[in-house]
Amino acid sequence: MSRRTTYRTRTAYPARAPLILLPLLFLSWTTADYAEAQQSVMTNNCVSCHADLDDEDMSLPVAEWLRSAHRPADIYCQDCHGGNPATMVEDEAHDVEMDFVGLPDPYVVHEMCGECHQVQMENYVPSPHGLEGDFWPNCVDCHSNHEVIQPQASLISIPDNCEDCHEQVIMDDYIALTDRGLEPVAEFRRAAEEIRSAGVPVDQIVAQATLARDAYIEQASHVFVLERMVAVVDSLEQVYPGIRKEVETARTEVDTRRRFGWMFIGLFLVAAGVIWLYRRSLPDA
Amino acid sequence: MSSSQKPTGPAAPGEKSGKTPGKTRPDPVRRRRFLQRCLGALGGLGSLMAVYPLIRYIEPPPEAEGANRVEIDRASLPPGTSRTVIYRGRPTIVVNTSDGYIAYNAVCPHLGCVVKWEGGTQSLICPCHGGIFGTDGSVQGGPIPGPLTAVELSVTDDKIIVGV
Amino acid sequence: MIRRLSNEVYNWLDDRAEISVIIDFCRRQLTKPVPRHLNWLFSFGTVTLMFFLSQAVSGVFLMIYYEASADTAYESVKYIMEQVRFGWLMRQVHTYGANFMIAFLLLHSVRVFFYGGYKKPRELTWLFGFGLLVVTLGFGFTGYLLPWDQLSYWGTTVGTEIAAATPLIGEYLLILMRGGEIISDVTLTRFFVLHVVLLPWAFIALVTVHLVLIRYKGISPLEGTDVQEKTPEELKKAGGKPFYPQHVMKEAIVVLLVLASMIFMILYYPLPLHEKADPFNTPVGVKPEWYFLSSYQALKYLPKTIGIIGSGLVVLAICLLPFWDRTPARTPARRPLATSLGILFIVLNIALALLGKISETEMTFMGTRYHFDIYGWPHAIGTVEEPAVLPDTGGEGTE
Repeated sequence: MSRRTTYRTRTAYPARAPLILLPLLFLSWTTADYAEAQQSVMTNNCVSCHADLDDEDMSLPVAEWLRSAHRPADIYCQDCHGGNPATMVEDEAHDVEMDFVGLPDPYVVHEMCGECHQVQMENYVPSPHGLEGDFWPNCVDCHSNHEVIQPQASLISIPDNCEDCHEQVIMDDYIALTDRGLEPVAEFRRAAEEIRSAGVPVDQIVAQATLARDAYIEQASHVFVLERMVAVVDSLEQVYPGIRKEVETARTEVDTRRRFGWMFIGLFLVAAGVIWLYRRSLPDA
Repeated sequence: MSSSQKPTGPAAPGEKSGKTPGKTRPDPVRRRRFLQRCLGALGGLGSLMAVYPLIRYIEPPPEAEGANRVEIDRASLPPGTSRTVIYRGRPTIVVNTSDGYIAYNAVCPHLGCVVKWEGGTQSLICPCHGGIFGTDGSVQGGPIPGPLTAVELSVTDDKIIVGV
Repeated sequence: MIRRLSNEVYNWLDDRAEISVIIDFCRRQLTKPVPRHLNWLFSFGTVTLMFFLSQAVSGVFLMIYYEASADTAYESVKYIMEQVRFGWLMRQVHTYGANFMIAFLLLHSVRVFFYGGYKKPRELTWLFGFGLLVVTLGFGFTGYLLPWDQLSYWGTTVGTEIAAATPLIGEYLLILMRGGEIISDVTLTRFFVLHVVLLPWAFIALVTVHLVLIRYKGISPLEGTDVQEKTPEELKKAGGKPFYPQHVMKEAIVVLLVLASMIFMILYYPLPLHEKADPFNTPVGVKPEWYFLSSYQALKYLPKTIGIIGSGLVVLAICLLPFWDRTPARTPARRPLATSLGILFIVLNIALALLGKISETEMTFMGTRYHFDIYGWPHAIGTVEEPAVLPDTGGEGTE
């Protein structure tokens, strides 16, 4: 098995300040030290140093991590790479004594991720990708290492990657199956959050959607055996129509409220119109 | 905006709006009275529409009815003891009598005090005016107008379930 | 029949309480002529007052179910939103009403500034108006915490943090406001007391004097302070119309239109209740409400002590405006310096608020993803066209 060592190079993009901010350039002294500013949110010297490095290979991970789900979850550089984030001295920061590893061993990546993503690891290890496949691909091969994203269709079917072992047909099946299993859950949750702010209770819907998602993750995700996934998705699709109906009921309630509100809006507008007419009919004093 | 639109002097209005007295328009006094009535009607309608949600708001919400199913561990209710739980928003007394479990709405029909279980006499007594009820809920003494209302009860291996 | 009955009641009351005197007085006050230049902009004060009444009513109704304690506050608000019939409406009217009230109060003060309404002999009206602004902002600040969700908890945390920058007594002031080191149950209770007891009565007292002064001194004319003001009779001759019904009708139209738009906002952009406050988990990019955003942002650029003293001086300057701006002219065109300074101040505030709004967020702009730091300054962090992925990232150097 071969693992490529090439990077896809990226173009450097200069910071293009939106034009509206130009008059405020006089304030730019305050932003001279971006790293310092960041520290007020995250006191982490890995982030502050690497963000400013000229070598893209060394600074891009920070940019990617900044927009990843790991940032709000407080998963920092040292959690995977070791080292000392508290020091500003380069040698101390990269001290092997502080468990600095630089590039983590691909054969233990799943254990590192698995510290939090336990279910996923448990499914992955015995799967064809895990022990059977000599841990190839591992977590970051599909989810990327610093940006931590959902594997997308475009990514999974990249030639020379999955297709090294898989036929395209199987890949399409796999993607379609994932969508069938998880898309409705995402849809329910989106709808629920939208409805919630209108004050219609949706905790039931969210709970059911979460239950379905957990079932999928526990039984179907990262097992990489098509038949098992099909069985799980089929059983989930028995549940989805019920949840969908609850979403619809909640939506209807929101619509009812809107109709009620429009009665007020209409009344106010008509009243404003009548007052307008009345005012015009007054004799000039 | 209106101040510019409004006629600037007593002479101006005629040309633009044609609503001054003397034109073919209806009498402005009657017109005003009509508009006043409209406003009154709209105001009344508006008040009704505003009062409706306010009244509905202070009505007890559906949730306030309370749980319509309460479970009690059998182990926590040894023979001869009682427990009062809130069932459908009302205090409900569950007793483990020598003849099995009973459950009653604990509100005394007399003046609304909550009855207590007295193991010694095997009866439910009301602390307020000395009402006494038997284990079947019937009145056995005191100024009580009627019996206690029984509450549905079922028993499983390890639980007592009040309600359905 | 009804008329006769009401006449009877009126006469009965008049014999005993002489209400005819009061009614006559009110009628005279109501029909007092107002100057011709009163346009739609002169209704913002009334809109604000109407919102105060609406806040009072919806606030009282919310209190029926609200429980002011850290354990129950969030649940009770959620209960109001989701279980109580029309509770959603009540809360949205109150939350949106707060924002609208502050917005119209600010518009009202801007209007008064540009029309020179604060000048002699109306300095007192301005002072009481300023007091009303402070009380209203106090309402906003204390009320913001009451739902006890993440946003309100941490918004209040950073908001009270500003007080800590006050020289010498800062730390003490902070402890006093919070009733402890951090925002807790104690803070919630004292904010609640301020919000529902002290501030409302303060508002009622101030607004009474404010209104009496306006009625007493009449609406400010456009002529300079060096010109003798017209008596009501002269006003009438010069084309002034009675306050009621002409101007009241105008205000009623504005009030109704504003209410209609607020209901529209409530229906289509309801303000959500976020997750319950978690004192151990600060969300990213915490900010105070929009009306505190400009001063909050300004404080970021300045050293703490200078910032707090500076903004204190600005607030003092606004409060004492009628005493240092004593030029006679009232119309904006006649006082170019004051007008341009006012515009500059407003623009600066809007700019600062916008910077505050975008700070600590990310945005895609012409294909590049930017992270805006706490100063609102953009930093490119990547591109969007190129899918941020990574064919080969897994295995560098692991042959």
